[in-house]
Amino acid sequence: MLTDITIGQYVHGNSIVHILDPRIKIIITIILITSLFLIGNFWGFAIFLVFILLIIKLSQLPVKKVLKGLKPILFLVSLTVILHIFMTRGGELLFEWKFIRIESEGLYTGTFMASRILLLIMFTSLLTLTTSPLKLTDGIEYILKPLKRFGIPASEISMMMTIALRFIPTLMEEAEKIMKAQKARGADFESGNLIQRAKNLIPLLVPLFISAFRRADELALAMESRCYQGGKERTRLHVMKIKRRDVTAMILSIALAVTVSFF
Amino acid sequence: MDIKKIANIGVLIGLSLILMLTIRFPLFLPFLIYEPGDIPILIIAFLYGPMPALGATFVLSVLMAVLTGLGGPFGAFMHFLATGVLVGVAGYIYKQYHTKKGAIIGLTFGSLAMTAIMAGANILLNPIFYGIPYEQTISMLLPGIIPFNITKAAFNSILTALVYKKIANFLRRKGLLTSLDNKEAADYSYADKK
Repeated sequence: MLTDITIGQYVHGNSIVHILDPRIKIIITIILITSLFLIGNFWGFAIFLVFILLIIKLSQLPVKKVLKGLKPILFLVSLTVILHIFMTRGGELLFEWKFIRIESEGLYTGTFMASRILLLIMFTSLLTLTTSPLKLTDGIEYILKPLKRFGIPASEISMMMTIALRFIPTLMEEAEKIMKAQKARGADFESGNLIQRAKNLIPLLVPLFISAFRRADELALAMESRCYQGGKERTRLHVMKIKRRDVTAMILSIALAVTVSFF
Repeated sequence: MDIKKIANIGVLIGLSLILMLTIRFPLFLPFLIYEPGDIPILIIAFLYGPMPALGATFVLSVLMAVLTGLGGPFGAFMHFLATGVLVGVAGYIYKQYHTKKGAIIGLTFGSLAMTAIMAGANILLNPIFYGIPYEQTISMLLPGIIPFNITKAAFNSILTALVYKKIANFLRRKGLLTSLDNKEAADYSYADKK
């Protein structure tokens, strides 16, 4: 049951999109998401879609993988479209049959909203598909750095992120083991009503928490004995440098954002 | 911030993600999914107070968006808002009243605040994020969004209280529970344990 969940969507590769600086990629994503909300017509969406297809081509990602990212929001998107088609009034009458009435305004707004959210999810999944989680957290740490002035502990936050990432596989294995052990003792995690199901979680949760605290304890000891300090004096194995391709990507994205927003 | 705290919070965030991914079933509406991911964050709030819990919620939301892609950036934002309010309120009240009663009051108010904030956030943000018309969002409130949030928060609060009670002895022995009021005792018991 647990093994079919793949942690992380990252697809390994060496393309130009993969090797861009993660900080630049995060900033580009933020800029282009904002521009998506400023787009006023379908031409803007069309240009945006071409840009997404170009990135997919450049990064040599399987298109299937990108489309798979849309699955979790498919229900909400179809709900939006259906609601707009049947509820929103205005424009000319397109179709009428008994109580069903479709008007052009509803069709337009429905598809407009759906295109926006689909493009948005596709674009953000490109970021996570082409950037490893470790690089992403490094990038996020850099972006959070200026917040230190306001008392937000950026380096500690990114350390927590790294630790969480590091422990996901370990804890996953642990959870699986405990589930099997408790099932062997007669525990049941999959049936019963809501309250019964929640109650059945306790024999899973308690040992899981104990083991998590134990692991954290060992980790803290290991870090302490290696003189972990965090913050300023910490040096890195991989130092991020802005290269010419990063600047080019940034300029291209800003140009795209401006074009589609004011088109 | 000491290393122990960073390590504990980091591992608990990892645990939260695991719980979120392994145990999930829909409540009321197909896109409202129950998951016990709030429990480890609530425990962080009880151990270290509201601010570290909010930081942990931020990290969790980012990792959720990065790793799972569930709901994309909006899903992550809504999750940050929901869990953030719950753990912030519960952690703050428990910090003021450091008793069992304080914990229960904190969890209750946290759950109520989360339900209220999420109702407001859905009304305000659903039309912008998903383009679901305003009136439709309001019509989903009573049959879906409000009961979902209150059930989810209540389940997670009750489970947290039960789990916390059971692991409290273990944590006390490790010096984690005393670390808030008595730093020296915590250091001592940590050294003592080895």
